[in-house]
Amino acid sequence: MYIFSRKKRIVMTLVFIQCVLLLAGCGFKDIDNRLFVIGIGVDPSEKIEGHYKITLKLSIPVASIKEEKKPTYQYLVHEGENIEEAIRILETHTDRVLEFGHTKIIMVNEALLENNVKDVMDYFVRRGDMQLIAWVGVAKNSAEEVLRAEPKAEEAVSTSLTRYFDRTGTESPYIVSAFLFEFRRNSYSLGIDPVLPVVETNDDGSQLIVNKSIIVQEGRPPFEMSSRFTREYNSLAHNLEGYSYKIEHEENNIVVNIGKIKVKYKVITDNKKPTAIEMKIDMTGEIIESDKDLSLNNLAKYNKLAEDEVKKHILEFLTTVQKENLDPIGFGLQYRTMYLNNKDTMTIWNEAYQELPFDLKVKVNLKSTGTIE
Amino acid sequence: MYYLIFVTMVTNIIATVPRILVIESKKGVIFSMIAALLIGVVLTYFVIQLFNKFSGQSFPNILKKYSPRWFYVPVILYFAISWFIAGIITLFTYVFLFTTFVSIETSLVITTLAFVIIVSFGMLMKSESVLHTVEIVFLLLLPVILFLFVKIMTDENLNWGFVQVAMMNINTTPSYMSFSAASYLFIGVVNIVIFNSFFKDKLKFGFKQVTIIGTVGAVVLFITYFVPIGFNGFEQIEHLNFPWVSTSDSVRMKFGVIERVIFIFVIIFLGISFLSLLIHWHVSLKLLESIFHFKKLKWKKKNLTSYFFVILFCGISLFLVTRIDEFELFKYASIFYNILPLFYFILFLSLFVAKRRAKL
Amino acid sequence: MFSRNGVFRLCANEKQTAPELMENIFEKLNRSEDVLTIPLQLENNNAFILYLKTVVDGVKLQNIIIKPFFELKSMEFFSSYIQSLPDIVKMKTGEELLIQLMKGHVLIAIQDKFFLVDIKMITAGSPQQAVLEPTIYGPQLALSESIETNMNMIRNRYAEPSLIIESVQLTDKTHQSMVLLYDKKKVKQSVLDALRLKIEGMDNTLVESSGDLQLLLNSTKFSLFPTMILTERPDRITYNLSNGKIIIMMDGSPQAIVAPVIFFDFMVSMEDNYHSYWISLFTLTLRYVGLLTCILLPAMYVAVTSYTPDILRVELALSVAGSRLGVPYPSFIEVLFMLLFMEFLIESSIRLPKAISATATTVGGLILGTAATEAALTSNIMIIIVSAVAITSFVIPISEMSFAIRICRYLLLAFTTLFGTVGLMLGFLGIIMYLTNKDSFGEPFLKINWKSMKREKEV
Repeated sequence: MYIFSRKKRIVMTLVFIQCVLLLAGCGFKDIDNRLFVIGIGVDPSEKIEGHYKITLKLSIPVASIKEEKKPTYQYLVHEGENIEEAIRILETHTDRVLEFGHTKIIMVNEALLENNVKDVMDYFVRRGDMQLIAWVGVAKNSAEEVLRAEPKAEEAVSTSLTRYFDRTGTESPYIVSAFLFEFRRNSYSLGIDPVLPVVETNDDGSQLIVNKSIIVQEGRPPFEMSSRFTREYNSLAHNLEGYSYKIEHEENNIVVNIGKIKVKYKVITDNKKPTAIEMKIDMTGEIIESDKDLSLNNLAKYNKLAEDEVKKHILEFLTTVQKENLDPIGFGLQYRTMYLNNKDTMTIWNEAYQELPFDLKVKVNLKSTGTIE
Repeated sequence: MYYLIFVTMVTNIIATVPRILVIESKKGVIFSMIAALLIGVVLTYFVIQLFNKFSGQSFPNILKKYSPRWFYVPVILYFAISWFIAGIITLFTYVFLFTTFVSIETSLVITTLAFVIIVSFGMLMKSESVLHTVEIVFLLLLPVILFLFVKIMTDENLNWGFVQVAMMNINTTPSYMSFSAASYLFIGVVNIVIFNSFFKDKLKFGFKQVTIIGTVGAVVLFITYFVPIGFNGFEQIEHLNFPWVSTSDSVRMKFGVIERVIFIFVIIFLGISFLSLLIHWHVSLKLLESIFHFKKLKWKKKNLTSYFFVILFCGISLFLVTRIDEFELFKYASIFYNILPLFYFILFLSLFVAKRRAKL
Repeated sequence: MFSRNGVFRLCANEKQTAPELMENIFEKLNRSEDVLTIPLQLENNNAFILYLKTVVDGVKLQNIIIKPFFELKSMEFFSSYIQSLPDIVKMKTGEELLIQLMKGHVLIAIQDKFFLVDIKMITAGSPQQAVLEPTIYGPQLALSESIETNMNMIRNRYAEPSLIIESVQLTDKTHQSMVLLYDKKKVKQSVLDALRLKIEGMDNTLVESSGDLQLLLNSTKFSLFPTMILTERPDRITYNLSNGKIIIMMDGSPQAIVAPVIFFDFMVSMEDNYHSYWISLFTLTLRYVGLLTCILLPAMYVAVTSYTPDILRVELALSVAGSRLGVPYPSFIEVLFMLLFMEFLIESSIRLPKAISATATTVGGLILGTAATEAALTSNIMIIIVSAVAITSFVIPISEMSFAIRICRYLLLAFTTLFGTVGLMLGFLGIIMYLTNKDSFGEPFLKINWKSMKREKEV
């Protein structure tokens, strides 16, 4: 290496670094110049018909997490013609850049579910930086209220709403968790309908209650399922356990707690026409409550009682849903997998679905009666 | 030797290939995938056999020795340009992907510049070092890739029902576009044109290798096509621009430090596309060097031909990145894939000619 | 009885003159105080010896040469005796003769015949303790500064007949002697040739020790990564010999050079041979993870906080954001500042006198950490990162590589600052590419060798 070229190289490198340092403004934004958006709420606008009201829940970082008692949030609300516009204006309401990479909660108002749900969803999916594993929920009265609720037991840096859904916190079968991608997939697919959880707050906004759900289908008012039905749906579709049935029998009332559940279903067809849906359900559980003493010898009898009870409930759920021509569990999808595709598959199914009888085979296996007899 | 093939395969899982496949999803993609699988393996076999006859020499050398100038200059030129375009497609796909998903504010030029700087350093290395680099990086990334795949495939949200629905579409006729796109996966072997100079002994390509490549290819194809469907549903998947990235965004690592799997995916893909880009441009550079050798460009006893080409490549890519948008990229990529079989044909033809002349 | 030119003349009646050669040599050596020419005379036998007092072992000289002269009957006996001495060396002429005399040979003139005998005095000859590469098990003695002792130690450990010692004479002012050691059966001929070529092509005025030699043998002038290992442990030397490497030892330097090396050799400590398989596998993995942490962690911090904070979980991102509250300058300056401070600490602690070292550690560690955070000059997380980096940078057994890695860290940091997360990954790949492109005497630097599963990979 000649000495001359060495000096020249050093000079050139310095110049290069200089230039590039100036360019480094692109994309370089320190973390304390960003604000994380934790949740978005979409409501129909109160002032103008057809417009949206957007609520953003921002999480404010705290210097020392151990000293903070309550989490700090900031809420931004704005109305706009479409979601994008509202968010752009909201960016001017704050001094830092809004960072959507951590948006985990999307709340949609119930009123929007009938006609506008696809538009709403479209925005969220199209933005590449928003997570597709955000949870979608339906707000009972107003998405803004739901987002603004700050339960007392909340920690400084994590959101309690997230914990409802991600099953690190509570794992109850009354809570349906719907990811954004799942929602989108099920909305567009033929043969299955998406289910969203309903989130409501109590009167003073200090508690969040999630135990119902809604089946959504474009073009018709959404069908709300009560807690009971939500539970059935969850156990059938997602194999979730941890709930109980009350059985009333002549002498005693016993409550059975279901520990494990396994569901298998099949669409029975005859020459390409669906004739019945057969479901096989295996449950294991134990007896939680009883007002009289029980003996272990009668477990077989209790099994039978439980089976009847369970069958009754599930049949009720399935027929109710069927009457509304909704299919949250995905029987239609199963039907489609059984035959090679052609144009008529879905039409045949749609015609036949409402009349299909259900053939349930329930088997309950009670393991014990708890700690006492 | 396997690395060349595998890297190209894995790269193209994420690149443009799935998009084409799913667009044709209603038109008999499965058949064309199977056909491409078979033909790809067969072609690989032939290419290796032909090169075995000339072990230890690289393609330009072979052509120079055995064919007249008017023949080999356009052939090599054509190859060099094809390789360059292949590299550019990978580069642009990745840059667009990164910009869309990870950081919207970063300008395309900066990201391209980063790539181009490192790749230009890599292009000027000896070919052997390129092979070693590919080996090491691939080995480093492989466990993560496997982990990713396993994680994606065992996720409970992957609804196999959709996959089955897709499979039920097997009774429709194949289309050419999907066939050529699927066969792109197997094109990695033709990188051997330059690297053949290192394979001094004849490469064994017997039954065992065929099976290995065939199985891996089949598995990769299956994963490429079907898994995104399981996550995204059959109907809507045509509308996804980057099906695989959206798929990986749908998986959640509940207890991991990085919660969104998409980032792991994007970073891994960065490594892989970098490798692919390196190989392609290196091959292209070497091919160009063998035909053009500017004796005039001398500076302090070093011949600057290679630098000239490197700067040319950088310039073209930086220029184009601001001009092309996603749709055009997709269009050009499909055209490129459609022309590929011609490429194979010319390769065989030239090798055949050379073989005959060598015997003479 | 000194005469003017310092030659002893006996007061006896017989006047002996030293042979002409010796006179010439004496002139050439320019009247240095320690040149002695002693005539040995007994009745009719006479011989002359010429030597440098300061480098020749006087006692040995007395025992081997002077005493027998006075005990043997005739010159023929004495001359045969001299010729059968174990230390006799082939007679040299001219410049070489002078150099040999400088090194402690003795020139004996017996009746027009000249002999050279090697009676060097070795002062710094005892093996030292292993300081640079200490291990728990294994031999604790390291090489000494005398080449004879070193060769003795190596031969004792590696008693293979195929071990060849080649000596090379350097042509600079110190005229040190240098030896090449290799196992003829295992060594790779091309590497040997390349090395020899390199040595002959070297021209420099002063080569002090193996460190200098290592730099001179290096192919390029501005190199970052070492292409040879300096080691002081004889067990590492024998291990390398048995794997086919070449050792270069220099007189006056307690370190030996091992060439060629590949990257993985730098990460192997001799401890690995003395522990059970799983333990050494675990420590080896630990070292590699430490290496990766050392390079990647500061750059990752910059990439994550400033470019894409979406990578982390929500809680972690918020903690990081919270800990950076109040820090007035951007993250990469903070990282740079802390890293430089740590470099100062490390550099100064090499030279600290023992009395102050404890205080300095306290000052550096506690006060830097706590006070800087309190003053909102850095964030908490940065302190953790910097201490992790500091600790892991010493995980690498060979210090040359450790220094090189430290510099790489800054390069990677610069690249990440410019380009973000893309820069992080690409910079890392760039470093890998640079390493694969290097070669150590024709052997690729970074190459996974599938054929041998030995931990210190074969050449």
